[in-house]
Amino acid sequence: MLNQWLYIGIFVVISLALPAVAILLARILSPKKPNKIKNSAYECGMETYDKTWVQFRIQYYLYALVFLIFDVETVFLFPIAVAYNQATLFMVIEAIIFISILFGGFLYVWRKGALSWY
Amino acid sequence: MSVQQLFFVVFALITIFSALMVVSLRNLLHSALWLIMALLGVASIFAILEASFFAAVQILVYIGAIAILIIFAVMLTHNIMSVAETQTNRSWGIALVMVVIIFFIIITQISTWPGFNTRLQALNIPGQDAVLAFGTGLVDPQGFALPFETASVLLLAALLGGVFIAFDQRREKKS
Amino acid sequence: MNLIDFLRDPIIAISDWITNLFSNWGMATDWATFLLYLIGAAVLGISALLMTLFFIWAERKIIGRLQDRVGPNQIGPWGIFQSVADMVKIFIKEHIIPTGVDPIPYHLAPIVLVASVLMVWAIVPFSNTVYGSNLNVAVIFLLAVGGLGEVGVMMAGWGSNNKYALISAFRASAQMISYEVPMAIILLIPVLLSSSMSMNDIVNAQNIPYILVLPFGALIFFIASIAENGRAPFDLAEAESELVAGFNIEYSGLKFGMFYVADFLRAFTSALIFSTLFLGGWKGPGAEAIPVLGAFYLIAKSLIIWFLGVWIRGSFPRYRIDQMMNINWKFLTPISLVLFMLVILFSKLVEPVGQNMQYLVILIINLGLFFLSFRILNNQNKKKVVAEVGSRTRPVAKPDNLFSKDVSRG
Repeated sequence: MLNQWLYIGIFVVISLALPAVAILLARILSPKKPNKIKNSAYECGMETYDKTWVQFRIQYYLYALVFLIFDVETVFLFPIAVAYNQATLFMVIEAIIFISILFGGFLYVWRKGALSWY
Repeated sequence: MSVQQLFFVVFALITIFSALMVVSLRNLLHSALWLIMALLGVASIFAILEASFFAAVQILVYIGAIAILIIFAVMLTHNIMSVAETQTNRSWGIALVMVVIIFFIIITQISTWPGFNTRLQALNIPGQDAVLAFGTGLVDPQGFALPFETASVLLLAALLGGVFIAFDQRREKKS
Repeated sequence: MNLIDFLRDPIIAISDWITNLFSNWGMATDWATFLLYLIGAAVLGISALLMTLFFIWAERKIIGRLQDRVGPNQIGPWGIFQSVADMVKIFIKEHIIPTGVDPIPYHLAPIVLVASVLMVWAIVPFSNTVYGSNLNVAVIFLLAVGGLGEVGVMMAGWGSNNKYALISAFRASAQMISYEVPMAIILLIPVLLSSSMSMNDIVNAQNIPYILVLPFGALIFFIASIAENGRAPFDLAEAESELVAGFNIEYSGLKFGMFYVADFLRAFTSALIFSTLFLGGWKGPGAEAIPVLGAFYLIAKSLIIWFLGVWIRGSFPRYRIDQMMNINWKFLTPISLVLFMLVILFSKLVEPVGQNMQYLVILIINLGLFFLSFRILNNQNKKKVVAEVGSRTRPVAKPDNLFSKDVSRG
């Protein structure tokens, strides 16, 4: 029954519990004196100027999209890297074709300017 | 009930509860966070089944990339702050009755199917060799080489399509 | 057992003693192992968190010396109890919760962030016999918990109900996800060389430390892990001297302390991972026979890499956000993809000759790409012509007062 993930599971529970217990302890030990000024949102010491909603730049979405594509590509490449010693040259060429198709797409995205911040 | 089954029941309940929360909460960002919890539940079910590669990849791709993408997309929509929409349909009563009837029909029919009642044999390939077999299978010409290359074309299409659609919006906003 | 056996491998000796104790009490072996895992995990987690106190003090002292000042020196000799005093102070500070925060993301974010850093310690092999879990997909797990960190940062920014925290959280998570791409691609190469994704196998296969085989890849991995951590020179999202603390503006008390702990612990954790993957981990003279020595080697190597990180932090100016993104997407990612493609092609071509030839070929590819890429960067820099605003000599209005010290250029 014992598999490798049992330790990971226990460690997840402990690593979630340790900060939680510490923070709970600190909440018990700390003074609690809320007042209106302390509880207002911080904006360089003045009252909040505008609604708390900011225009979201689409550039973040583009970065997340390119990251997703390359993440999935890397996930495909990991088992091939594990099986590298058993692979023939043909299989390596196949992997290179896989990467270069996506590299071509990456160059297109670069030239279109979707990777620059402005 | 063995310990493994107990763990499975716990994780399955967590996943189902999180999935219910995803579809019924009004605040979109809370739905996204419950989605992360549901994906973690699925990853733990993979881990119980000792499919280590898939558990790790589930967390890496789904939670680390897709959930982040969903959160970014949720914040792109303008009316995230409005919580005035209802989440349920007006005719939810009749729908509930129909769903329960169909559910019982399906369950009674499937439980007599032999594929459902026999115990599955575990794969003979332990741990590390499973990843090795997956790797050689992916690039083997007699294996899955063609779907592998097609997957790369699919990823290319996703990349170009996403950039094309989002980039037009970016140019609009700039001008 | 005698003292020598105990000293050779104290952790395994203690765990064997505990297991014997449990089975003498009549517990089944499964439960005994489960309880052993529990105790081991608790000890590892607590010691990792307590080591952070040492690292915070050491980093403040080193940065102080780099900036030609002394650093903390009041509390205890050389200020070693400064971190303890800070910890006590942070424990008893008031938790100010601003109005309008979203309670679940706001309160969970520091816990998720610290958990995502701590979980890496479960897969690091500390010596021949002492390791948390011999996970056979440890390298992917490493990348996956980085993803959990990004989720934690977004939760912190969103839950704070403060638009500056939100902007900073977007930037921080965009930076973290961007720099995971070259990290993941470079991680493929040690996996390739040792044909396994498990950390134990990667360490065992390093007869030559992999940094001698792929120096350029190790450099890319080092830069990417500093950027993923959010340390200077990549710390725009929470620049301590500019944007007031970024996404953890609205946190006070121990919750802010947890963000701080996560930051510093992550620096040492990435040094630990770097030395496991590239410097040979616990390998060293005599480490197989005496496992404790292996643990010392690992900690020593990680301390050197961590010191390098602190040195870089104290020496470089900060990058702007567009410069940071350009470094990743326009330099590190294409270079690491090209590096990987060349490595797998040429390494397979010379495979019949032998493994040492493969290593040599990979080394040549690395050095070649290193010089080529910096040559290309230099050419790009030279092409940017800096427009001159005016000519060098221009007439300056002469002042009326002859006794003023203005020097007129003419």
